[in-house]
Amino acid sequence: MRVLIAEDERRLADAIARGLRREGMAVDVAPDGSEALLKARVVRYDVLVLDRDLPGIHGDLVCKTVRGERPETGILMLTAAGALEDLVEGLSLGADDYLPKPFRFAELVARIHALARRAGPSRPPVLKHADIELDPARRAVTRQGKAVELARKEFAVLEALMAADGATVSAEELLERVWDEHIDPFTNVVRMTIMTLRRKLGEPAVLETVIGVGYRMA
Amino acid sequence: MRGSAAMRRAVGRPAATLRRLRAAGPTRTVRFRLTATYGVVFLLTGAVLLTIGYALVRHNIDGPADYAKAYRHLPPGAPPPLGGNFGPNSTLRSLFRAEHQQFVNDALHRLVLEYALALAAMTLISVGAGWLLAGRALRPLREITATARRVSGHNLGERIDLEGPADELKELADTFDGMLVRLDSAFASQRHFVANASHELRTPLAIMRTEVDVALFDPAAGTEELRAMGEAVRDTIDRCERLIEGLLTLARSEAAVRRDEPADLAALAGDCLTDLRARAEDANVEVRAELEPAHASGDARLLERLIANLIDNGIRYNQPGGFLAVTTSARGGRAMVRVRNSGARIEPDAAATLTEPFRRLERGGDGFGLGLSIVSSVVAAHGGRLRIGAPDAGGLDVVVELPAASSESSVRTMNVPKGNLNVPSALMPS
Repeated sequence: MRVLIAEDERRLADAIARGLRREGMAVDVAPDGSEALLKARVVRYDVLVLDRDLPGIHGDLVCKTVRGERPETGILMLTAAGALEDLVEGLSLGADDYLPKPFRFAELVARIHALARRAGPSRPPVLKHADIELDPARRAVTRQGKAVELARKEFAVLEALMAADGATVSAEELLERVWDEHIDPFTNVVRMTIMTLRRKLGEPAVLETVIGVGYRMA
Repeated sequence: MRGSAAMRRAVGRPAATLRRLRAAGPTRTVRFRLTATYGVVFLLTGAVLLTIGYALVRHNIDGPADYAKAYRHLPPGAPPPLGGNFGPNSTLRSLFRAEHQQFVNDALHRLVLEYALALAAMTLISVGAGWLLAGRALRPLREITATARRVSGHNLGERIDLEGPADELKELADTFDGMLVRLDSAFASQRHFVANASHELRTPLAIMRTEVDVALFDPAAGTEELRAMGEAVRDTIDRCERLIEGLLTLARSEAAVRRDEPADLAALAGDCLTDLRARAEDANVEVRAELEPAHASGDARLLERLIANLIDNGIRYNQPGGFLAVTTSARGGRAMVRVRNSGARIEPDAAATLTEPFRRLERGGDGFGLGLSIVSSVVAAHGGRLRIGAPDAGGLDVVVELPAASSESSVRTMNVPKGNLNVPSALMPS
């Protein structure tokens, strides 16, 4: 899952990014409104965590613009103003959710998951394919009822493939959705991750390579 | 006794009393009293006037009747009617007199009745007219009352805008409007302040909460990570402390100054420059100081904070290779301190807003935007004047003028190091 954090408090942005990365999300950070807008236009983020009081371009305008240009991106507004009017105003600007500061980190993670689920085509909270079950909120994968230990990126790749529900997902798309902006686009990291995933999931093989196109769940 | 009990009740429950007053509306209205006064005055003056009229009529009608004069219009030589005997004691004369007296008495009696009726009728009419006129004259007051009633803390945008001649009521309405304008801006700045303060206080809380949550969320977090979290939290607490310190200083300086200590601005500026010298050197800012004695009086700690804030700003928002010039002087009963610094050009409009709390020209620094607010409120508390200029060459030019202290008895000794600051020794107070 690809998340953009637009927050001018560097320390807060870093802490959130660190926590979300540990949750297996690919996180980019934008310190002001114009950079947030630029990044949101280039990359298709699943969720934008937007501080309302951004320097440069104000968070309200970023929210409206992203809502107009990227209807599939879920917008979670963060703000230090927690009054009811602020909440109503934030939601009326096109935000999907609203979290006043200070917030519990677990709540932020849960809301981001919920938004990501809502943003794409509607999908169940627990993804299932054959005998594999994947629970994004708990970050747990089981095959035939037995837990499979996956690293963060492996989990995220599997989640992306299962969410595609049998459709082919290109390596570039996996790269965009699972890794953040610091990844080298010519890396073979996707192939390596798929190989490890296949090994960990065991037989019968469920990850299929569509030569020259990408990968899909068989 | 009953009155005082009622008063105690009213004092004890002012809100309830206010509600009752509002619900009932005034019973003894000004309109009623004006009309009553008008009616009574009309009645009294009317009665006096009619009494005078009556007295005059009576006096004039009852003059010594000389009936002999009635004959002077007769042609000469004509025999008098009714026979000639009209002497002072004649029967005819007494008959005439009695008849005349009767007629006069009847007329006066009727006059009294008619006057009384007319007075009553005119009083009624004038009371009616007075009621209408008083209502008309008092209509603006009702508008003012209605507006005042509608206005509340959330709704200070209302104005009376009374139309009409420039009379006392118009003056009252305009004064009331002026008060609303001031209240409105005071409430707005209060709301602004609360919103900003809560933002500034919540952000470090959010940082600490997130740092702690993220570190604890990972059950396998090592010492390294927990240590980093602790350091981040400590830094954030430092930031909170500075913010709270700033807010407390601002609150203290907004309270009226109760101290009256003598303070030499030159000495205070010298102390501040000494303290902040290392910062200036790090920032590669050349410090120029011309410190003539400038004796003011007030709260020396606040005055020192004022100068320190100005110098701190001058260093913080400067550019490498720039300058910071601090001048103190006493002129015409005023003690003055002026701090100029180089730096980026600032729009004059933006410079004027810098005294608002939490106003920063650019975000992301480690300041809170309270420095110049504190300066402004310290200056105001000391009865001084603050001018913030934004020269075209860039930077700020801040002039603070305070009333000079009357006595120059206590002069603090200066401890400005001569080496680094260009303080001409002739200007140093001995």
